[in-house]
Amino acid sequence: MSQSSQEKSKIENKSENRHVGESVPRSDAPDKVSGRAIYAMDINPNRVLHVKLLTSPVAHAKLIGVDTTEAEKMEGVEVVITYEDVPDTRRGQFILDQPILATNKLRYIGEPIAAVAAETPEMAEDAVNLIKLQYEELPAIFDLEDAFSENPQAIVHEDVRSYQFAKQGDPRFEKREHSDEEEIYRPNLMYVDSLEVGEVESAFQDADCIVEGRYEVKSLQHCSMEPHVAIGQRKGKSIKIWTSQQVPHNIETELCMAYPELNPGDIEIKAPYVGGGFGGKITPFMESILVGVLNKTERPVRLQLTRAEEYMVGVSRPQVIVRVKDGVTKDGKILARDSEILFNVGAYNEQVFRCTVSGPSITVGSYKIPNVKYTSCAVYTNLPKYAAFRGFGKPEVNWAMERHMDKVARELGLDPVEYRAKNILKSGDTNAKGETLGKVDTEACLRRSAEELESINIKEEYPEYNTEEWKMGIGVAYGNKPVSRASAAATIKIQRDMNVIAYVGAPEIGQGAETVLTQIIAEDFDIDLEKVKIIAGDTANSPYDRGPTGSRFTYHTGNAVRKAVADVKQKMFDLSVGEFEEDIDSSDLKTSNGKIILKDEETKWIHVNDLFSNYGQMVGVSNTMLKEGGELIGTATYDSRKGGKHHAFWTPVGQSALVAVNQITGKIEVLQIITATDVGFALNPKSVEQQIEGATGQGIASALYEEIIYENGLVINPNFKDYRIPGTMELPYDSKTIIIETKDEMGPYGARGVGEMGMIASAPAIGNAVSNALSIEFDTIPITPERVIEALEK
Amino acid sequence: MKEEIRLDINEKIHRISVSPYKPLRDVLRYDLCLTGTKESCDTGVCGVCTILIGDKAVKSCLVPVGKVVGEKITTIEGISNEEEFSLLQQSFIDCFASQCGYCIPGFIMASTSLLIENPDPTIQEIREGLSGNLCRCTGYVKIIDAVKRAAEMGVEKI
Repeated sequence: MSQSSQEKSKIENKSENRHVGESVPRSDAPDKVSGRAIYAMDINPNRVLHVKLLTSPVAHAKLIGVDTTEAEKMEGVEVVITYEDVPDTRRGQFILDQPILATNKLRYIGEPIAAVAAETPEMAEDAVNLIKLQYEELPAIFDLEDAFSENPQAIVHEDVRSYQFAKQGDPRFEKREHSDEEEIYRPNLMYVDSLEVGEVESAFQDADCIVEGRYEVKSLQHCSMEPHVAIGQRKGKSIKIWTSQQVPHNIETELCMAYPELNPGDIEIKAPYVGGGFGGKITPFMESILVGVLNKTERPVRLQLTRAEEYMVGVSRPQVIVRVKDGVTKDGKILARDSEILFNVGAYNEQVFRCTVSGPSITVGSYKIPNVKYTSCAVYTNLPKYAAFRGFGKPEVNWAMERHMDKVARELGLDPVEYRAKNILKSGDTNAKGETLGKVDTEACLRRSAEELESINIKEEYPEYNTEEWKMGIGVAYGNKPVSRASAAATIKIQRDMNVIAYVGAPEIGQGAETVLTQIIAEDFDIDLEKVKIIAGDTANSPYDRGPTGSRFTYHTGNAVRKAVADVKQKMFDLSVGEFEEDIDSSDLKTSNGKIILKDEETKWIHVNDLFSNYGQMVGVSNTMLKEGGELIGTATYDSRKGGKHHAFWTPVGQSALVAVNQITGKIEVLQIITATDVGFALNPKSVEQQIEGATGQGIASALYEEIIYENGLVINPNFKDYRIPGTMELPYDSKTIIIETKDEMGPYGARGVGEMGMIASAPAIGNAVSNALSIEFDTIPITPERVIEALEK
Repeated sequence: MKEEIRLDINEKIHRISVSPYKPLRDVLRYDLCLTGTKESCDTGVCGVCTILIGDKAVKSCLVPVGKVVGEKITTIEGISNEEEFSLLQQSFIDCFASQCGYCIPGFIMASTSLLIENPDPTIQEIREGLSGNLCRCTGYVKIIDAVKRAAEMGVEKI
């Protein structure tokens, strides 16, 4: 059931605010319940050409020739492109390793080699089948640990050390170069990130107890309900692309890098409503091919991935293997932690570089550990590409950390909650990376979620599971999720009658972006919500935004719109001064419902319309032109990167689960899951619940249900029949959200980001509960019925 | 081979020239521009393309258009008019049931059929009734709440 409880401070705040803190209905909901919402998938221009891809049938080969003669001759075929038709550039986030279309090597089953544009999708498909490939197969490598070895049986990229790093403006990445550790020569190692703080080895010697573990997370798929789709049209040098993407500005930047002749002004990226992203829609692996096709035709073209292609051509969450060693005192203080993390990159880097760098933060961010060491490695294999999935590697690493915390507690004979509480980093504490936690109640997240779980009278509430067949278990986990620094900009225009338009770069991908921005803007102008219109996700109209990724949107873009409102208000007040009879200063003014009011004498006011010109060209009045000329526009950037290297903020989350495990079938049912998170300030509490319930659902999916199965590099379950996404019967209806509010010092109205939090500790909470139920340690997810049965048989 | 086909959709008659084997979903989306019916899995699992044939929820990606000639077809566009949402649609808005929204038309259609068949379902019956539709964003809690609430308010015949 859907319920949340909020701290008392919330209720006290309510009266101060008109819109923020209220669960106002989502502004996009009417479009979405009526079928009127337009997604990229719904855009299908007249005379559109349909694009199909020829992809690699082999996991590793030397590509010798691509013969497109027959395909080009086929009726209905307009364009066929191969690597010869696109620039010989390398694309990628942070490390540039990927050609637009395969050139001299094939590195995974599904790698795009050629694209055909034809009158119908069927004709394009038929033409693809006429392309002749010549290649020489090479030994391939799929196992992550084998690939990481010093003598792997195959090398995915022979020249990885020569690959360039993209300079993408993030100070943490600007100085990136291949590091010294890579010199311990492991041929498939793409990148290493490491940290050593304190005296790790001697701390282990001082420890009363050392506990080691190996944990694994299998790969899974984002499965956005709207598959990847992009529609493009070129007029001369100008290209417009409508696409299902989370970060339009990034798509534009990367396309300009892949096609050096393109300037940012030549290309417009438009993301209408996006049918889910979760990290899978950040990089232009489709758009880069689409531009190659567009360069050959002025007809509109459309490239849509089939569901099977989502698994092979698209991106998935990486397999991750974590080895961790904790040294603790017998009364439960953690003295030292050493972790080795292997991320499977797949054949090319889309986002795993970033996971490798940011994932390990979770090893140092939850608890006070004076001596810490980690090595985080990104390793190439001949598997389809991986990318971030709701948490940039952190949910994967936290699976290991929080399962390990339970094991250590058991080893010491301590209560798992008390053991965590004893070590938890609190507000004002500094973590091993030297970051000091701001105002936040970490312990409340841990304890509130655990207490709520303990208050359940299991025997009374779940009598049907009180049999020999079922075993019940409870588990608790905690995580402190850091959010990276980034920048976001906003432009705000005031029109006649105080109609406000806000232009922002980040699209509405389902997170409720439009609604919270509307609330913030309406609050700051003191106007009705209906007066605010958001124009989002369009590089031609919107200023730069790093996009809705990594729980950063509300905080960054929210702050950007607040600054833009302040900017335009100042302009509005400066213009208003002359409209008053009194001698006043712009700082004497405030605004409410379109009036500009003298603060000390509220009967004295003008209306914003008094600033606008009555001399419109055709209609008598102008909605936008000021008496002074020009328009009433404010613009601002919120750039948290100025705050330095450390994260913008940390959002803590405690999650607890009650599960029942069937000892005969191996089936696991999650009966209740409780999430407590300190969101700073819930701008829209129901929207916060939405994010928590949704991310928790995905966490449960990762813990129990979903796994991509490969056979020699081929995905053998690339469809929703064989790859089971949990439905209404599998995910628990009893998903409870506890909202804790300790206002953030920098966030808009004190808000922190919350998008990923339900994903951070849900899988380990369930893993701990299952291990508790059966008294068997489960170290690999998903814990499928087969894995349960196998463990029981042992 | 294309044939002249007459379809009764949302109480309007459409005459189109189309292969009778073309999936109804693609006819709705690409021949008739009724894009509220979505496409996602192509295998009849996800339910984003759910429509009503009579009062029954059907996954339109699995139905060749030639099979539904003479049937009364309702899509999300036929559930309500510009001015007024159905009780169920309003309940989805009020309960915060939609996030990215891509699966929501399918859920509205499946729920409409469910409530016609069983106007007063329990939570468990709603879960069972909607088990043929997938959502990646919500975890389903608020969708189930929305259907329950609409039932409590008394859904009338659409």
